[in-house]
Amino acid sequence: MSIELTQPFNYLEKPVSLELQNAVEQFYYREAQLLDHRKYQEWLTLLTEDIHYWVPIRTTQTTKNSNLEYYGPGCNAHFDEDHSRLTARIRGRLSGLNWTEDPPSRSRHMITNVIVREVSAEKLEVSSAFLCYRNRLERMTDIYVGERRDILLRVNDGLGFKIDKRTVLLDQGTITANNLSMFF
Amino acid sequence: MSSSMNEVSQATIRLSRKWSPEEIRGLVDEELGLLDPRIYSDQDLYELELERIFARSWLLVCHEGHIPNPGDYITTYMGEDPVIVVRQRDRSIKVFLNQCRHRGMVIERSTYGNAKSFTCTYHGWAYDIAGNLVNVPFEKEAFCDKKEGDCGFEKADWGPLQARVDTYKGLVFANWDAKAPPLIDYLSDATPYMDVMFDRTEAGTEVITGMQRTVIPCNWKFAAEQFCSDMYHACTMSHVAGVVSSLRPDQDLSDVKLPVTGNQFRAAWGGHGTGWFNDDFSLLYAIMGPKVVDYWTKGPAAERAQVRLGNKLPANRMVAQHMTIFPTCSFLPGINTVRTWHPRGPNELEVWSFIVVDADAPAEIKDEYRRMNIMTFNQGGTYEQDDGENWVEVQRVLRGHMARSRPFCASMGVGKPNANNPDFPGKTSYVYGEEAARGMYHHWSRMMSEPSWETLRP
Repeated sequence: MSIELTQPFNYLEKPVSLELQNAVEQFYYREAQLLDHRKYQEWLTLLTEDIHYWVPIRTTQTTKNSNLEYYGPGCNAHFDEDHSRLTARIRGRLSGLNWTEDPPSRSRHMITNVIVREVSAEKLEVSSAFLCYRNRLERMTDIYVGERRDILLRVNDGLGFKIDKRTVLLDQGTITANNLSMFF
Repeated sequence: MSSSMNEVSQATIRLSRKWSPEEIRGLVDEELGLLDPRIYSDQDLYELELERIFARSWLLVCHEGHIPNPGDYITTYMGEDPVIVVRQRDRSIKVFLNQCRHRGMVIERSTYGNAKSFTCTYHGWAYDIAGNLVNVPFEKEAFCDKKEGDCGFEKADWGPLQARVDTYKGLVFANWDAKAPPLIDYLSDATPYMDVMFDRTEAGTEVITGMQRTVIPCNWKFAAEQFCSDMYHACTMSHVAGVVSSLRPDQDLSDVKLPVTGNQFRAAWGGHGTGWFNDDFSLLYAIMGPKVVDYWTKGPAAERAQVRLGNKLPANRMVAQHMTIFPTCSFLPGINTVRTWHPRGPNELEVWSFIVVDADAPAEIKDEYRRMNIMTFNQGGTYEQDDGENWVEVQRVLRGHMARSRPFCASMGVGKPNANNPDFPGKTSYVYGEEAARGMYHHWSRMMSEPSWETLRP
């Protein structure tokens, strides 16, 4: 259904400069801070107007049929959002009435394994791994783990980059958390 | 031994040591609308449910569109029992237990695909797509060195257990019990209400590829009952954040007037139920947006649907409908999510959900349905994510002794004068009611306490 998602990230033999690597990692750490501190409006400013935020559904397949693992573009998905839909979600989140995040979860997004590929002076393709820990109410605890494949655009303001495309490959077929109220 | 070994001629009903039929009937007081909370938390009752409800009811396994071609299969569940659903060469559908009869290993471990046969990865027993055992490694050497038919081991005896299969308007149901009534009788007088979603056009519905599977740590009946009977939660507290999400930038909550007139339907038999608002489409606009709702309510597709459905009920007046076919098939006409609530012990369920659309809808409408379902009624959806929060907390509280010691109140509409709406068929009441819930639990109590279809059947 979506063979490209089953392929490893196409990284370069020679890593990008330390300076660029550091800039991208710092961007991700700051983004993670915004999410973990529920600064959703500020997080929205890190996304371009053309953002495509996609979390495809994974299935269990044998190696021989690994091309069937992901339900691809145009299929049902966990998320398949544009800017207006993400904005709408965050409006609901901040309403004080979104009971699944109010009282809010205690979350921690950890970002590692950052591999950067320069597509052009303005555009980067980046693969990163994340672990998102979420604990809420008394002892409800979920751990979401996966890979993010981003297109980042360089900008002169803010944190130096904007996210133009994010594909999140969650490392679960059946989602074991009782909802997907986190952003990754 | 005969091939009937693979058929389930009658569900096995054992007597429970803990729960007598009288005690089970005492858990649900239909007259007063009282529910004993132990129905959601008791392990012994749960084991009885697997036997008396999930091994005897028609259960939704998928949509026909999930398996369009011969050999197409999905693996899913009937209750806790894993099954394989396979399209046959003659277009019929087989549903059989995903368990090798040799030593009980799962026969197929993939979520879906196309198969020419299924081979158990333990000792290599192989089954054709109809579930016939066709190859046993070293059969001659290990099981039988005599001529065929003369050795006591017959492959025909050792196929996986086969379920009965039937479809209704694209939905594929299966049932283990040979004595259960046919699907069409089982659906009772609920079918006109199903048709609002599944029979708007001669083309029927098609499924949008992709089943979302998630876990919610709560009893399956909370979910099934809510889709059967509970509009009350939607327009009081549970889903206000969803509504806020859907507001236009220039609106706030005070601009939204939620509808107050509507009805609820309780099936004459079977525990099925549905509810809807009448005429006021504001809530549906708030959930699905103008593109989908205009398609659903205005224009040629809506007009054709009304011609098709109108002799049974005024489908064009029904808004934001919710529905459950007992026990675990639920869907939302107009929003078009469909799901099975697979039980996983008294304290947990799995949601397996998918989206359908009119098969002859324009491509952009189909895609808008997909996007709006992902936005609202999947596990990350702005409406659905708040459902799980309620159910999980109710379930957690039921660990307490005192919390289980007094009945829950399901008495909305009890003792009210008959409020049937003559515009709609069957037994109907006010939209904020619990008549459909009482119907569901009444049927639950009957299935749990009556061993024979002689008394149970419609």
